[in-house]
Amino acid sequence: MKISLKWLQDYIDLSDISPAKLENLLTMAGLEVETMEDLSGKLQGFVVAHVQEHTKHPNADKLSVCKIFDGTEVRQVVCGAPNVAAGQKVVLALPGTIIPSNGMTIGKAKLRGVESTGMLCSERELELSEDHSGIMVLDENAVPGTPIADYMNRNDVIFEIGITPNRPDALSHYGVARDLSALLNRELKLSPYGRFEQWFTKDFIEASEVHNHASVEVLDFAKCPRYSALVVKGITIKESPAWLRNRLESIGSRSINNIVDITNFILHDIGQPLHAFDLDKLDGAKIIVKTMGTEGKFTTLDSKERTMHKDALMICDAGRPVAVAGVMGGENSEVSSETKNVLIESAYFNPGSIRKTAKSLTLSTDASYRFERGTDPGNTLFAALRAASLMAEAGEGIVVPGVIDVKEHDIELIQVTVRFARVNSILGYEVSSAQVLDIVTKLGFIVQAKTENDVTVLVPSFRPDIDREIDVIEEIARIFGYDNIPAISSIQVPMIPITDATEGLDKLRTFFTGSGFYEIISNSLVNKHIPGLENSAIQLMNPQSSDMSALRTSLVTGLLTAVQRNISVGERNLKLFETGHVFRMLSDMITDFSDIREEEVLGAVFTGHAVEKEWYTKEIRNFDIYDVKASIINLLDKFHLSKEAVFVYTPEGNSYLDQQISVQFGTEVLITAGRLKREVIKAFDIEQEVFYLEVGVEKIKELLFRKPTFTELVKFPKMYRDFAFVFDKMVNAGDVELFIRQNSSQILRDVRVFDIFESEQLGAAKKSMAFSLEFFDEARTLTDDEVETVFSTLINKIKDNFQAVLRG
Amino acid sequence: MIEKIERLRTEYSNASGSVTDLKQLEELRLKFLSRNGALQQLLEEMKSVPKEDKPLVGKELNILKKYIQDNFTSLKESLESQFASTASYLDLSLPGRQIEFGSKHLLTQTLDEIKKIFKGFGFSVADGPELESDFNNFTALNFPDDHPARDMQDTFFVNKNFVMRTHTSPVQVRLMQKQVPPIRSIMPGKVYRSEAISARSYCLFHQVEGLYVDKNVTFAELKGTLVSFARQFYATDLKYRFRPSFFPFTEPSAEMDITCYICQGNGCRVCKGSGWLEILGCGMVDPNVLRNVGYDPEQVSGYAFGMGIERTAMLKYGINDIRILFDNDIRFLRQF
Repeated sequence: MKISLKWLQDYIDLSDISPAKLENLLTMAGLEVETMEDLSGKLQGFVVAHVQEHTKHPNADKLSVCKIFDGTEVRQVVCGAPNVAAGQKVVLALPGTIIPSNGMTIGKAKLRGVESTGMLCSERELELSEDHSGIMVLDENAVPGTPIADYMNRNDVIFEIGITPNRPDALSHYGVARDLSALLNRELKLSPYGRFEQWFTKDFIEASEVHNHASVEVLDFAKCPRYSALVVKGITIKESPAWLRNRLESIGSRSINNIVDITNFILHDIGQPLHAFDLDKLDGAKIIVKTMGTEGKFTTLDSKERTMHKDALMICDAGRPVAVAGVMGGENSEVSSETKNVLIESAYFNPGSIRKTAKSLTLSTDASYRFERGTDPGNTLFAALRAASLMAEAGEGIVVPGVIDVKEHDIELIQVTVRFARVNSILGYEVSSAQVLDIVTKLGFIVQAKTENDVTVLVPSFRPDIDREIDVIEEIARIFGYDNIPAISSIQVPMIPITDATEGLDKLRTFFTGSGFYEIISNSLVNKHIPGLENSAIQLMNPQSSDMSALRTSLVTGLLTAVQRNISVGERNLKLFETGHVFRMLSDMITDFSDIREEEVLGAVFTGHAVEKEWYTKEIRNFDIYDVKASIINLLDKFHLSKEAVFVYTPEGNSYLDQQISVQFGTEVLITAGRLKREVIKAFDIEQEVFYLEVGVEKIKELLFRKPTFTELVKFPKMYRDFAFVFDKMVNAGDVELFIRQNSSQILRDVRVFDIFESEQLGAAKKSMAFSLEFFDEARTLTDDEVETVFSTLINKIKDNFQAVLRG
Repeated sequence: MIEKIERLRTEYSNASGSVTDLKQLEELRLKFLSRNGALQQLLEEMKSVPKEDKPLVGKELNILKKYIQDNFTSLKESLESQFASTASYLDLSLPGRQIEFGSKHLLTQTLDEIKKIFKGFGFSVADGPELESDFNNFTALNFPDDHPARDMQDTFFVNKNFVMRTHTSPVQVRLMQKQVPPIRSIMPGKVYRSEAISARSYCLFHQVEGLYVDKNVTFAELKGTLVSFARQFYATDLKYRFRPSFFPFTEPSAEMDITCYICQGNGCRVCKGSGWLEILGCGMVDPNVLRNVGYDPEQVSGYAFGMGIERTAMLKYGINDIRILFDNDIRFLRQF
């Protein structure tokens, strides 16, 4: 919201306060000044001047020498403009002035031998327009010596203020002035514009004449608790007076005509939105306020046909809708250049109702913005009277005596009791009862009763945000000043255990970064069409784009997007991981949390070179599934999970992986890994193999805190035996290992495959696998004989079981 | 004969003096010390030396032989040790067999730092779902239906009753529903806003929410806690201010600003000329929120605060485009 300093001063004297101080004052009172612009800033040093004489320059054809009166003295200025002439009022830059367009400082100079003290300026030099065809020629009545900022009505400062949704009372110049009055302890003044005291008399109010000209009927008091109206007859539609145009232009509002400008002025002046109907266009000179109950088309005054929701409150005449209540008027009843008689609407509408209508139309206007936040229901008549007064003045109209003011009942002010002890216990600082009373009074609360312990106040009707004790406490703190409440410097910490729900995740992050992975964070809103991963994805109702229309079902999307991006900048060798939530629908309709599975997952990718070409390596090697498996085993070992973990191998994989390895822990799958299928990586324009590893964080989280139990160190020597067999190629090393473990004595403690190869000598579809066996016993030294017995028994069993041939 | 002996000594002495490698050493050996070498030939000439001269010549010859043999041996040792040290020479300037470590994302690192400080104040860490009910995200937090406060946060809807949470505040509600006071917890996580993606905004970001509910929790304690946090996190000597603001779930509500670390409060591009940087929103938990979770606002009070981690990290590390945090360019990730 734009607030003009000059306009504010209609209501409060701020002449002794600098704009910077004002900015701070407003911000610290919760009216946050986002920007502040001094309109005169660039016009410093420019004054109105009179060209008294104009002669040709003796040494230059295109220059002339002028005698210029600047209000105090006559100076000689050399000018190059073709349009300069004696008698003109012009813009003079005095020596020392900085020219906004080029940053040059004007000084005394000699131009081709003639002295010049100052410069006559074009519009472009003042950055008013691009016009540089000649100097600016001002109104002939302009007074020499007048600062240009004054002449152009730009001696103003404009504050852009962010008003929070709880403060509709501050959505006007009067509203801001009202806060300043409380903050500065200064009286508010009456605005010089739209004064109506002289004709606003008891007789006027009680007059019934207006009822002969118009009538108002409210059929839905819930949505329209109050509707005030006045009639102004015989007006002339024309340009607004200069003061009104200046006011509106200063806050960036375009002047349209006197009547429309007056309604806009009142809105920005006191925050009450008004609408002016052309009375002669109202069928039956009648206003009916009602909810239509059926959907319908309506053309608003911006010439757009809109579909009205059945619950929208409409302003109708005897036969048809003429305005969308609180949002925008209709084309059929708007004020035009032929308008003679006007009905001024000044109503209070239910905020929720206006918001619903504005939302359904996706239309926000200055009026709806204020109505949906809550205008002052006590102010409708006052606003209408001021507008009528201004229309009489600026439109030469006559205000028809009598007022229309339809309401079901009088506005009831809310009563709140504030306990002084409560103020102090919330703020943690002693604000005295005298201070409390002073602040609430300054803010317009009406004190009804006061005891030693509390004060009961009536909340003014312009504060719809306040209906509880705590709301008043906030107001007290706000005006008292948050900065005046000291920050305490020590706290009490209860001796209850500190828990951290994210600790397990942090352990995993530490493991992966230690293993060379970089953590990424990607967008969880994704394109729903990803091969193998689109199953039961949850869609957004209002996505920004199709690329961000669904919730991710897997971290693959983000990781592959990152891989693709890095490959495109030449980074092809990557180990990345991400932790985050993934989402799935468990039924067709989400009505309850049980229809959603939202789960924390960790995903990691491996792509490109596992081994780079270095001075110590023989050759480059790409990542393969065994790099992935190593990470899995490291992870299980690190967190003491290896013993109970069961590996499941599925070479053909699932919908998006092949070479799949899973790790189960009891019935839960903790880890799934494998190579991403070709069609998945191709969807991301990736050509190189990508391996993926996913950890179910929810399931593994608790297991990460396992404490290993201490095992006595073995005091007796270990013994080792190796053997190698020729197997069928399809025999898995893991199966042989398991067989060895299961078919041996308990002195066998470890089995490790240490060599695998295929060759022509071994024959097609054959391979050699060599195993190393470790034997020991905690209680004694083993003898060669017993190891030999176990070992040779094992050899025979392997031969039989796998049809394997022992190698030399 | 004596002459010959002297000549050979000189000859050997000259020859051995110019030997610099093992090949020349071998040539020297062949020439002087081999079976057909000069020394052997001279020894054989002893036979023809007259008997009376033999003792003298023999003595000289022995001296020569010892001299040549000793000299050769020491020459050989010296050359061989020289050769051996070349063979075992290590170029220590070669790069090591590097193992690349990864790193946590800058946002995680920033959050870790925040967590550490608040844990020191006795805060626990809790989390909650990102896909929330409209009730938990808005209604329970005192956002009335059809109130403009709902427009403060552009919301992604899954349907009429489920939204992508727009703040971490619903975790407050979940925590209070589950536990009884005292509750002192921070709640980090992703939140979603339907804002156009630009240098200044993204469709999601990370927040840390804080909540403390107990008997006699005050605004003064809220201020003290957050000031201490800011001084630990940003700078020990920073200036700060709390100014009134509005959040439906706190009353009074405030925003906390600190002096701009770039211009020391003089006004610059980062602080948009104001000299202040907004770092968080906070306030006293609204009695309606306490009542909604079954607490009695007359018995307990509380404060809550929330800050954006992206904004915090960007301020701290001088990053001016939020999108780089989500681009996941490895060249960016490696910097932290």
